[in-house]
Amino acid sequence: MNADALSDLVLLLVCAVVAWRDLRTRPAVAVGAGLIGFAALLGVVRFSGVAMLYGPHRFFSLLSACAAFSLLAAGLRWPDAAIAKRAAAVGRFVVVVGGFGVAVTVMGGSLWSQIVPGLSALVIVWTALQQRSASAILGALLLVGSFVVAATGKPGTVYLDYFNSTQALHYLLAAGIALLALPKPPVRTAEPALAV
Amino acid sequence: MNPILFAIPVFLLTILLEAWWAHRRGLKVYDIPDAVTSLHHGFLSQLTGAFTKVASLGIYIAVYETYRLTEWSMGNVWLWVLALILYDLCYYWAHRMGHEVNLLWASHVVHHSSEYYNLSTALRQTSTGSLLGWAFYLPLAVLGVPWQMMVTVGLIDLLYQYWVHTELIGRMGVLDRILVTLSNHRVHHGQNDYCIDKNYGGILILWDRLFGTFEDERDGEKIVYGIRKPLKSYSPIWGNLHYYADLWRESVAAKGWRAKLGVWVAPPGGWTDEPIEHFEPSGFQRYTRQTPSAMRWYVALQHALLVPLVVHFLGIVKDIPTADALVYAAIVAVTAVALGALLECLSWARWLELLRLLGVGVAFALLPDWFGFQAPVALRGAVLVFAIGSAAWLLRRSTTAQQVPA
Repeated sequence: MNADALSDLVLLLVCAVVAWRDLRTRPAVAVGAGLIGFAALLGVVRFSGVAMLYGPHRFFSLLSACAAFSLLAAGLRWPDAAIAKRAAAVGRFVVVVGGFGVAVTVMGGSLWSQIVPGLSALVIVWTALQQRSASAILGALLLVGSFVVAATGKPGTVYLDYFNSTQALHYLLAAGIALLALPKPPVRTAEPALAV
Repeated sequence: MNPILFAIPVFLLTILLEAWWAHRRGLKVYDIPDAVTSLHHGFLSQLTGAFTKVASLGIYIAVYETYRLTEWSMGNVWLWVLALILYDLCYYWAHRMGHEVNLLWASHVVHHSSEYYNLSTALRQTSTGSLLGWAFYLPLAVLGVPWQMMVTVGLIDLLYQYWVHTELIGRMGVLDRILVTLSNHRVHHGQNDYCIDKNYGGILILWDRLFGTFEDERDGEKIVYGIRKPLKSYSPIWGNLHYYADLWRESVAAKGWRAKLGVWVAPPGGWTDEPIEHFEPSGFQRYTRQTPSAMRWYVALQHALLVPLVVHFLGIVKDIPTADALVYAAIVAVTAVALGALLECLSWARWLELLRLLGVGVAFALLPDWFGFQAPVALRGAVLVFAIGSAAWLLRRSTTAQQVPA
């Protein structure tokens, strides 16, 4: 296992824990993490030498970019909404928003797969700031950092004298998701249930 | 060549055969306005498909080219079988979401809007299915199923589902347990309480058994076909748009952007854990407009003459400029709307039909060619005479509904 695979393994483990823990209580967060985790699983195998998984790894990374981060944002921002609480709503969100994102990207709108996670990150940052939770704010900033690396990282770029852009992306994502999703969410006052 | 071109004569012959068989047995399974409306929906679906399938297939091909796991051999028969099974699984979920998500139901509701259940109902297809349906088949592209294989198994899946739309054949024994059969699919089209959101499978009913949506046909309860909020229209355009219009109104009325968006992705009954509202089959009455009998046969005849136009359109659409194809499609669509309006006895129907008859008749007779077809002089003359004759007949007829008790 090389360093790229190891970084994807760390991301996989974090996502698997979040998905396992939150599946019943916060399906949006769980499925969002699960999608990223599945992409990471394919990455672990791919970077370990199974080159045929190159395409599927990229596909699920794209699907994650288009749907998983917005699911995480929705789950953290509106925990009482149907999109955050109902597994059926989460499933259809993945198909509709993810399918649309994949279509736009493959038809030439590659910027879409950067705009959507970027906006999702901003929603998460805003939510973290409102919650005044240090771990959430740090997690959100790490998430933003991972997107900056994904958007600007070039082959050969070295971060902190040690990580290439792939590894930096994976570690920042893993740390961000862990800090955002693993601590118990703050208790919220009752709000009227919303349709989404 | 569009393979549906070859299927159209088979469809029409089997529909006539089913209608004749039902008539001999004294069964009321056909209604001319309903059947004609179903076929108009089928025509419009093919017209719009001619313009939109390229885009949805393009997305599939782009995903296949960029993200595929491997490349499936087109020469391996077992891979074809596997592709068909996987396609059927994707179809199950596409179909299920088509019933459980408002935005997708708005498209699929067309197929369920007939209150009759016969072979023509199978052809009552949506014209807006290409908007999102393709997304469910992208896993096949990632797995490496070539687009030609996907299209072929998709066609097999679609054509298989044609024959299950009839009331004339009962249960089929052990096959009912494995395949989507007539009995299983009758349940799917029912609006009785026990039929709602059941039996989504395309070829294999195993998916429903696996995912908990299977329901067996009940001998003691007659199935009532159709949708809970009846369409009550013979217009193929309104048939395609009515649920979108409902959603739009609901969305505008909703408070806040999340609620407005939520309307489109919620289930048709809304986000509720309550059981669905009870439906009493014995009190159900099918929609009818009491269209005069002569007008029904007039519409049936004009509809029959529309078939060669649709076949011609599908045969040449790839070879003519898009603007010409749009004009041709508009002619077919206007014909379907005019005939539907005549069946509904709408006040403006006769004038639209007169305009259409004279427009098409004169254009066919006088233009150098009909979208590339060089018609012989005799045919041009015959079409013009028929159009003028039809117009004259129409001017002498009343288009108001008969006052006959339902």
